[in-house]
Amino acid sequence: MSWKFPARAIKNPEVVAMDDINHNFREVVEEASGALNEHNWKTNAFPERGQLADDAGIVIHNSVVEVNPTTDPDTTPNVQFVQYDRDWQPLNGIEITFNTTGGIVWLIGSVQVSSPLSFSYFGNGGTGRFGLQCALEFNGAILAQSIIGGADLSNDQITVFRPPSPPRIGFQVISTPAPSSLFLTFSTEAIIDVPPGKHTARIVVAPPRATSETVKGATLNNTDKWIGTRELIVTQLLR
Amino acid sequence: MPEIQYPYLEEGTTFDASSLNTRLQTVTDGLNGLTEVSVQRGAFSDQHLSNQGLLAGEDFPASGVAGTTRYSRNISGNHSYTVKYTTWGGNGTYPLVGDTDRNLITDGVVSLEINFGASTIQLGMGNTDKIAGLLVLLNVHLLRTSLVNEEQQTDFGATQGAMTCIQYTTDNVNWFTLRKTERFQWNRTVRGEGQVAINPSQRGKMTSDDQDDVYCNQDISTRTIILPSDLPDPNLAIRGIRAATAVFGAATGSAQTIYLRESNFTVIPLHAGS
Repeated sequence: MSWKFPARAIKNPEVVAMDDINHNFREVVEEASGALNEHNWKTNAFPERGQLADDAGIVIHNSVVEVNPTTDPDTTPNVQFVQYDRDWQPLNGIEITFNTTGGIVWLIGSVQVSSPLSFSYFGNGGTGRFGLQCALEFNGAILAQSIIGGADLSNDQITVFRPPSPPRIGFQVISTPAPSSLFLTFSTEAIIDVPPGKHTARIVVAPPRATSETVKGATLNNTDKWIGTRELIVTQLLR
Repeated sequence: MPEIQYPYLEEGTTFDASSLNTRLQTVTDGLNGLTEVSVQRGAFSDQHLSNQGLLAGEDFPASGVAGTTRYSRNISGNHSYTVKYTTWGGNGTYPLVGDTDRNLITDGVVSLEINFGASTIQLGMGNTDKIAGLLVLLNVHLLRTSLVNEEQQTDFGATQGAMTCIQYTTDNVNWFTLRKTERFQWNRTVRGEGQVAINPSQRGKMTSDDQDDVYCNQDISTRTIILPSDLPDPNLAIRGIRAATAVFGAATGSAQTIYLRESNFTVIPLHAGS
């Protein structure tokens, strides 16, 4: 109700017209039916947060899976192994589905990763699959701004040059699109504007794509890379 | 959509006090029953809300340290730790004995700790503090690790790294770890990358100082939200929250040390629904 006076003044000794009354009522009704804005509230109208509903401005959702980092991953509960020759793989146990009236949503993912070099670099050589990529997925779509590592799995590949002689002299990594270590952490975030309705958020990971150099001479082990403790947070910023 | 029912006065009918009063009453009732969708997005500004707005931080102490704010602590200098990680989630026993296998991250001047002193807070919107949870953002730069003898000198294969986590206290003496916040970064030694040990004859001619230290330069990041369900008692009166670290690894040898540099610890208390 951003106006201060009735749109049509009704004064004595004029005849009260039906149209004027309808119009003045309609102004109030329409404004109060979804159009109340910042001009309708007094300064310091809510001096204490206790006067506000819990979800007056923010709604939070979170989902966590814990993994013991000190035991053998082959037998540790909740460890999730990453498969080599698949694209984006959702992390188990932390998908969040929520309903919203629409607005800004802050998505946050935090992940413990184990992604060592392939064992065979110092043996057969040239078979390494460096690192792991991570991203947030919203309603089935990868959020490009959240990708850790190369953004294009079809293009951002590992390229390895290994001097042929003398044997085992070493290798030179020319390009790798993903962070790598026996233990490392990922944090990824995105702030997006979503329409009203039901939505689903997930964290996904993917190993870098193979090239002709990185696959020959070795059998890849799908327990090389694994995911430990992980948490997904969805924060709806409503007002 | 909330709608205030207003039956229009129609041409050809007379209106009187009663018909006007009926319509005024429908509008009055509607105004007394406004819902959240009656209000446009952005209708509430900081002029209308309390000083803290929707960051429920009345009990958060302001910081007088340069480069830090009410809700965050920043460290820029080099600092080292030798305490060793032993137990998933900490080796303490709630509520009497705090964790001793990890220490507060501090450079001696600034610590990654927000302490409420005597003014404790309780999480959960059912409590008077009206704090649904603490959104925590922690970034710690692992500079390097050091191990004076044995593995590192014989085959460049020390398996060594750093652990970071978030802790809380109820008495300013005993600190307990929130297990889900433990994060680990391994250093980039040969074994630290998951390889078998390299042949010593192939590792070059490093002198002792060189081979003791391994630089990592890796960010250890944590994002979490601490809810009442994360605490042993959802109504726990918390006196402080902090970031801690420890040496992590299976390496053998003496003087195992990790060196951290730039670190940031931000805690955002949210007035929120779920």
